[in-house]
Amino acid sequence: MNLRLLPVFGALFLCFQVFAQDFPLNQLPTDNWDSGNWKPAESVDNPFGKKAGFTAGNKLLFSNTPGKTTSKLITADAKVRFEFLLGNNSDGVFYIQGRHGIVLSNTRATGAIIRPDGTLQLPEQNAGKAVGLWQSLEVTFSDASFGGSLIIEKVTLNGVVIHQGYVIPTTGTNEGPLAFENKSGTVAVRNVQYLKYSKEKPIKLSDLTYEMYETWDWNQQFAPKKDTPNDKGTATALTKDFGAGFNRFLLIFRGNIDVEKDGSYSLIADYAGKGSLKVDGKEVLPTESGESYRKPRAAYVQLTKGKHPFELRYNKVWWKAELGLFAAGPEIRPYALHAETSLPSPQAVGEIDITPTSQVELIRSFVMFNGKKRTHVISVGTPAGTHYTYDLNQGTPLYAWRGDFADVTEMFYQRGEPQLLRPRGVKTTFSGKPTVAILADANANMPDTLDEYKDLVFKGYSLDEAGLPGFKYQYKGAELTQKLVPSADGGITTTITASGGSNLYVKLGEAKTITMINKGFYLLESSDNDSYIQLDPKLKPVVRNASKGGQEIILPLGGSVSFTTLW
Amino acid sequence: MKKIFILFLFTVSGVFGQNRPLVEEDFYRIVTLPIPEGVQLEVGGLATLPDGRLGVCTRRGDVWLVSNPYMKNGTTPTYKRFATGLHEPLGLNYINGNLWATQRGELTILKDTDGNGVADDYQAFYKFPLSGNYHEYSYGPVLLPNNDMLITLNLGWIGHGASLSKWRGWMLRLTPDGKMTPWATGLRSPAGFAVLKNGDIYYTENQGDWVGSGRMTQLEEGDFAGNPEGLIWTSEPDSPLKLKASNVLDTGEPMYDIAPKVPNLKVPAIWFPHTLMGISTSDIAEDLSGGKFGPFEGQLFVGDQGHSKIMRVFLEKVKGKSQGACFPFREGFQSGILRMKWGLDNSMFVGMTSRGWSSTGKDEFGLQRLEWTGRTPFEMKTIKSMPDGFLIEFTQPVNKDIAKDIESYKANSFTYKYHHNYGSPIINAKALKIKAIQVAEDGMSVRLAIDSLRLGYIHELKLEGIRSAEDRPLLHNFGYYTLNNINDAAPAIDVKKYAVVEKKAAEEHAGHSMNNAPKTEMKASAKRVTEMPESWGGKADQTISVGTKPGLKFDIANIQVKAGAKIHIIFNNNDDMLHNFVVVKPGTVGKVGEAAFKMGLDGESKAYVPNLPEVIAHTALMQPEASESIYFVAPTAPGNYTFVCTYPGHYTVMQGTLKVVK
Repeated sequence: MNLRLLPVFGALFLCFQVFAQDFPLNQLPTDNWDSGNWKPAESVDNPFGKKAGFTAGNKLLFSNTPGKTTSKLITADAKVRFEFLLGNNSDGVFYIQGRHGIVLSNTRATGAIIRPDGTLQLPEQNAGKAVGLWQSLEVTFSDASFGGSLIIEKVTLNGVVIHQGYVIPTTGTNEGPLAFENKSGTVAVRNVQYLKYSKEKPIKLSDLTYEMYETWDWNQQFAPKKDTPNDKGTATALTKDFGAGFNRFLLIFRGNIDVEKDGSYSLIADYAGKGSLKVDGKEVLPTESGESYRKPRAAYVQLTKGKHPFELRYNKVWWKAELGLFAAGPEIRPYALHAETSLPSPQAVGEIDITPTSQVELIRSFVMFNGKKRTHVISVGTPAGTHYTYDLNQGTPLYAWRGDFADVTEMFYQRGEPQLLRPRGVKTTFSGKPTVAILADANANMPDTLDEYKDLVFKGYSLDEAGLPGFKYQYKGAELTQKLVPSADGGITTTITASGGSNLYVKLGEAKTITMINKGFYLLESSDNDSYIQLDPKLKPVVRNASKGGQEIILPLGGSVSFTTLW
Repeated sequence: MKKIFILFLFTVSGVFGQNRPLVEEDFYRIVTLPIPEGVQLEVGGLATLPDGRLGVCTRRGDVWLVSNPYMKNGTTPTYKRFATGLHEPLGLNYINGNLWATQRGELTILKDTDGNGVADDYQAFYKFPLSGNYHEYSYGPVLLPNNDMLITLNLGWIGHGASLSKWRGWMLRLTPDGKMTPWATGLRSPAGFAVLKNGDIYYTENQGDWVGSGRMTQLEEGDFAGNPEGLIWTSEPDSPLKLKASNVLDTGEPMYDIAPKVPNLKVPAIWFPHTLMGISTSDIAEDLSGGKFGPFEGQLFVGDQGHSKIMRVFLEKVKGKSQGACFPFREGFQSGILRMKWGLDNSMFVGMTSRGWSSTGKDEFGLQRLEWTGRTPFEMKTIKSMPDGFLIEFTQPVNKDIAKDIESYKANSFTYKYHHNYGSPIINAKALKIKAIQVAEDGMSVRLAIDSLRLGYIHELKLEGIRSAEDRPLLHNFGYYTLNNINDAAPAIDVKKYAVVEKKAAEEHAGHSMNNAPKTEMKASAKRVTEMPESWGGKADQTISVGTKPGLKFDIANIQVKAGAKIHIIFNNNDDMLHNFVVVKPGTVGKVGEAAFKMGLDGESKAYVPNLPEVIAHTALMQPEASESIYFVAPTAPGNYTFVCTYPGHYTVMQGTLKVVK
């Protein structure tokens, strides 16, 4: 009983999220490209390094002279995702259907859509990363249903949504290849992936029957009141309406899924209450232990051509009856298998934001980090446009980002149930592990956590003239201060000062691999999270393997240490 | 400001211009502080500064310093943001020259070290854990006479209250150097607490799980105030009590009867009967004005969030334990009252927010000040326990002839269930017989001798007939006395001398039989048909599901039905409050809503549905997460009918349109 609503609570976080669809994308190999003066390569050197070049191979496409490369792949209605890297003063363009460009540049706004007249539709915010770091761009586009236009449904740059629903008038067929153009400097592209959407509906339901049982309430697990159904029969469509007239009911649909061709598909059940789905006698969506607010649950299944028996069970609990079942494929957008009236559109919520204009804005909140809520967290937004989130318990930054500051809808909309702040701009993610620790010796591992009540005691923070906080701690005889300040080049500079204490070490960063590019300049590479660390070239930090995989870069702390993170 | 001034003149001239009935604002005036546009002043805490400024902390995390909040002689206040970025601070205090704020997870001292009027040093004085649940609110600090401080920690909410991190559901005591001692537990939603002049600590509680109705409880070290969730931490070495949740009896018997069987369980000093007084108690303010705030020196004022009003409490100690009476005091505030703080001029600042919970005052937030006009209202000043009944003291002499008449009084007693459910119906209600009435020589008090006083029960005294010597009715003619002990030290009344004339038996029953059936078992009636009528042949023309949403809303705003159609409504209360669903005739929602509001003690057993021809159909009063089907035939006359929740305080906002078409 005590746990019965925990899943409900969990579901609250999801209610603001977009309908998820997670098919792996198809890889477009480098030999699909008519390469022109672009070259296939194994790797490309960081442009800050001494050597500026590449190693031959076939993992990526690389160009350091102006020119275009075009795919053999032709798309009309698709999702395309790729990673790109820009050298100094580099300017490139990615083309959809061979003609609609999106800027990739560190001289112009990356992500800007080039209109047919050559002018730019600027992104909602600048979400580009620093020179020499791998960045990601995802674009979904389709033919407008009203004709004569291409719709750029969504553009996401480095995890930040920068365009939605942008319409470009067109003539003729909206179809063509993908292309990259190097206009100046160095441009590299890797991991080009795509899904081509078709308008096919290769899955249908047939031979539908239903059974409807009135059920008990939650204190009897919503079990049917009788063994025999209150109502049953054949159905022409999947709809919640068979339960009309009952407060609590169980609706069971049985029938066949008619599949036109072999393939992998997803079946997405979207309902408020409890539900489960069996296909070919196998539970592909098992019954959950609790009930939940409306949220989609997807099952990924391999289906062969022909008929597959299915059983869909739906319990209406205390929420309004809402029941939907969608089919989707890697290249098929989700479409409804249910009757239109069975599932109303959810109401979207207007955003509440904080925007620092003339002064630094501080806000404490809960923040999600690696799937967990951090509870004593402050976020600092600056008019300079570089912001960060800091865990006061562990004395460590969680995220730093540029662009727009914070989305606090989930803190202040109605009761603010998730109580979460979300960064809005292009961000770098830190390790979330303590920045400072006492180590027995230089070889000992940096800890993943410190006892935030007994050992690392948070004492508060002072604001400087600009309004930026310096965080104060007592840590086993040491007095620590940690301060993060936007750097002139859009990064964030961390300064840690210690008085007292001994054997103190600072963790400058953690990543999958850490490479020294120059003295005092390090490249930290992790999936979708590349960054640089810059510090006094006279300092000699140690790069070593971290306790749980990956690498960390550490430095003994005597007096004061300062370093800048760039992304 | 000008507007307020003009209104005031008008009111004053009105008072002297005619002999109209006197109302609350003749005695206590509400002054609204203007709030600059763009400032989201959802008040979490208030602190008065000795230099005349008022500190206000808000849900958005700011602390504002309001200069000139008293607005004397037509001047206006100004707002300056002193601090920012706090995590939903719900308590503010001014201690030793500094502002202290309680955030969700930390008690923080805010210092302005460079004297520019803006805090630049945020000192973490005491940090405590959180699980990350939105309902983990934290309140305080309240200063004790020895400079220790108290904070309280709200339970989380996961479909019921739960202590998901350490000391949630507790009151904690902190020394000036930051050493913490857990003080008391059993708390659910302890937003209001205070230390009285005599050093006693009280807190108010909201109706909820294990809390049948709003209440106020004195907390001494090691007390358990009733909600067992916080007991999860009693095995900690510093816990002042060892009681476990498994030792708490969940039988639904009255709390007073359970208390002797559960160690540490503390019964409340005051019950605030749900909806009859308020629906969500908040702050406590003790009147230490020495008469400058009116005739209630030494009494307490208790805010109510949902009803946007302030109640009044008289406390006395009988056999060493606190108990007393509560009375209505002042309503009509602009939003939900969370905080009340005395101003330097003995007026009361009232800080408000309704946020996702809604309140009778329609504004989302607000800041007002309550002033005594200098006129003394005719009120019951106190109700005191006597060996054979009660002593009622008045603020002005009564008309003695009327006061001797038994028809001037009504008395009832009732209580609530103590159980894990959310709230409770009124149980064991009983009309009480008044045996004798003794009116004091000076007309300032009345003794009532009453049959069958019951310990642990709430005794309702209604003085509808009483008039003052100047022939005015009472401004508020009822009060509720929580009787935990009978004061048998006082002399008894001479029952023979002051005996009232016996009435005929038939009259005595009139209007006083109360239905004690729980809400869900309310009997079906012509307007509440819960089984499909046989004549419908097993089929309704239209079946419509209606749910509820937080913030006093139905989940649909419009329903369209055919005139004369057979309608089946499934009403699903998925909110965390009590609601009903009532269909009323076009344009009558105000009348029905007000009539429901006035049903008083009887209301709950009748689902707050008044017996009026304007009501077409209705459900029972539904518990959170309960539902009911009703069947009715749609009216034959097309038009826009209304569906509404008539639970007191809800009807003005919780409405929708039932459109009947041909």
